[in-house]
Amino acid sequence: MSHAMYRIERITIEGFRGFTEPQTIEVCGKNMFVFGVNGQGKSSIIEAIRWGLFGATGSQEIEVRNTFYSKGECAVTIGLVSDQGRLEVRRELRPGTNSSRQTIRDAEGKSVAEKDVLPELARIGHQEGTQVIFAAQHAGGRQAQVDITNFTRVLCFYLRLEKVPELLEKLEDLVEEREVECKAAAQQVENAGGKIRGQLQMTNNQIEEILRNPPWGEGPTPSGFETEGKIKALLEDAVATRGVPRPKEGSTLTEVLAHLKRELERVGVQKSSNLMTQYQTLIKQAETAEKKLASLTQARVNQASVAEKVMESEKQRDVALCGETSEAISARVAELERTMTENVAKADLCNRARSLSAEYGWSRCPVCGTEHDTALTGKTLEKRILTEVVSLASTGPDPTVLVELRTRVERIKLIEDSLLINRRLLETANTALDDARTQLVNAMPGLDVHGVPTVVQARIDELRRAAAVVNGEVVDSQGHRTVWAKRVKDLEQELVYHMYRDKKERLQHRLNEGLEGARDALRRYQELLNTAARLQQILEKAFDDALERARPPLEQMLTEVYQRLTRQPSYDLVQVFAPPDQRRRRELRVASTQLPGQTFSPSVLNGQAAKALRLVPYFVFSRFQPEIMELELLLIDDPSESFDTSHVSELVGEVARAAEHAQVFVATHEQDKFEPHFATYFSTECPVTLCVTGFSTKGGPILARK
Amino acid sequence: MRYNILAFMNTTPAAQADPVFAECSSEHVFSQITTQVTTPELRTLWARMQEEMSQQGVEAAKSYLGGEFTRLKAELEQELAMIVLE
Repeated sequence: MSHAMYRIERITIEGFRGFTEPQTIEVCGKNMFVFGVNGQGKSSIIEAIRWGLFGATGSQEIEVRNTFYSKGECAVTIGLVSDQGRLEVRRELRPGTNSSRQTIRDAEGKSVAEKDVLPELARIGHQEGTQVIFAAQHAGGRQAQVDITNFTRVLCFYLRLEKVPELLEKLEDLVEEREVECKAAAQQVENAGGKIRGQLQMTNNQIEEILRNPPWGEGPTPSGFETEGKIKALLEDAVATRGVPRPKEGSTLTEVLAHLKRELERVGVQKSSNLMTQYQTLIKQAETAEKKLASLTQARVNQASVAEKVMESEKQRDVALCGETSEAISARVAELERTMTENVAKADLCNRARSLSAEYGWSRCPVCGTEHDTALTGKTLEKRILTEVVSLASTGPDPTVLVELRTRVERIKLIEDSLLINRRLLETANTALDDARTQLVNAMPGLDVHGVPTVVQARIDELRRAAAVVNGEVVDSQGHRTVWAKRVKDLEQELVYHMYRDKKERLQHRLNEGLEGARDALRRYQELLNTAARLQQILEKAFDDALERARPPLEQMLTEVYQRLTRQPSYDLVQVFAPPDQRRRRELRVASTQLPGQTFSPSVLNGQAAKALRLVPYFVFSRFQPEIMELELLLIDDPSESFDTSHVSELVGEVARAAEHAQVFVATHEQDKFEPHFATYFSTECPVTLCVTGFSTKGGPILARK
Repeated sequence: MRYNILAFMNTTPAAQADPVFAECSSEHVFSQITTQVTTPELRTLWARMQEEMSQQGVEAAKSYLGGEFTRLKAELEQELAMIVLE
């Protein structure tokens, strides 16, 4: 008989399910039966062992906490003992948390890793294993934490075959996933071919477009070498005749053409611009000269006209002076005027004297005071005054002469004023003429233009002709630019033709041979996929073969245990069935020796047999590899629920057989049915029995060791 | 063939008592595969997967194979990129 390395020595439970304050159960490495009526906490002990070792998943984790326990702690400590020492496994769910934490300490209290001290237990984890909680009491709808629902997994685990289906599942997923990828990749290769064909068609169209109006003219299609020669010749020509700088060393033909295009345009524009400037200068010179010449001519006309007027005025003045000077004539006028003024004054004096004489009566002389006959004196004086007046009138100058002289003086004055004005105008005209001449001389340097309008006009005509010549050169320059641009463009087109032709060759090469690389890569991918798929098939068959090899002895073992537990008369065989439509799946079915070749679902069994059938695999499988299990337990909760009294004996027998290699913990309310068989089946070492005698919310289960 | 189930259950573990169970383990199946892969490509792939599994478990074998697919896919994409690069 082989034993696992470790066995449970004691269990301490606090705040777990029905438990509140910490309670320690001494097991001493033995098997244990927990008796008690339902609802007082015996199942909590079985579940505490399970939870302490493996924990729980999801919401089940927080359901284990006793919410009535005021301290809020929830912990299970399991003491393990072996001939190599002791371990303490503790799992606790701290207040306020919803996930538990497990710690393992060795005999010295040092923390150790589960995988180091209990590697098989770590491997089992939450999944199916030796540990069974056959939860007959599904309080609150709670499911059994570990059962045999996934029979295939349990089967593979105990056969240590689990790596094969695990690998198969991964291989299957990978192959399926990569098959999809492979199809997509094949489509990509196909699309790439289509794309190249499309590019080839486009390139052919572009070549045809060039050939419809070939830039090299009617001659044969030039080779790439010939086109290169043409481009080089064009460059040399442009350098020599147009002054285009050379492109940088190592330029490609395309770059050379781009350079030529750019530089020829630049040089052409520069030359046109220079010529245009020259033309505009000549035109401007001619126009300026014309304007200045016109100004000079006009100034000459003006000067001549004014000079003529001056001469006319001088003639008129000479006629008016009539050999005299204007000063002499003016003196005569002044003399006459003075004489006439004096005569008038004398006459006036006479007239006043006569008036005075008449007024005063002339009795006495107003000068000497001599008295005289007034009437006589008056008449005499009047007579003398009249004589004097007449004398003055007859001997004085002739007024008509004075008038004539005055008229003459005025005329001379007018003529002289006019002459003065005209002379000033002449001075101005002379100055304008000099200015116009100077401007013309400045406008046409080096040309003697004094009084020779024809020479000037000839020079202007010469400028016009020169401007016309330059204008012709401008036009020619633009024509040259067009010609050079066409030469460059033709060579560009020629080069493009060669590029398209090369591209066509490359595309054809890619279409014919280049795609082969992608196809090769795709082929390698497909080959790996086929190899993986083939490997999957081989593994699948090997897996089926392995299970098929295990099937006969397994079925015999399962049937033996099943028959002892149920003594089924009709369905007396247990078989491992492979559903045809579910790869790698196996399920337990029953058969009958009376109906060979047929299998039936466990649903054909009555309730007791069906539930017993669920226990059967554990009784069988748990014996397979105990020597490698560092801790092998069989935890059974209320196993007799489905058994009638007559079969409890067989059940105890099976438990006792399991107890030969595993440490068994059984919780049942049927103490009276189980205990009588202990002496029969546990002859060498009687199991520990623990009775749950009562329960309180505050204190938890009341335990009594028997 | 009948198996004396009680005999081996009470004495030795099944896997040791019956050679049939000994030939049902993953290791045995894997060693069988080694003899069944006859083509060179199957042989090399399986050898490499076994090597990965022996060192780091089943997941490593999957990772290796997945990596091979990824590598070949990358090669293919590179070839495609070269083809359509114009």
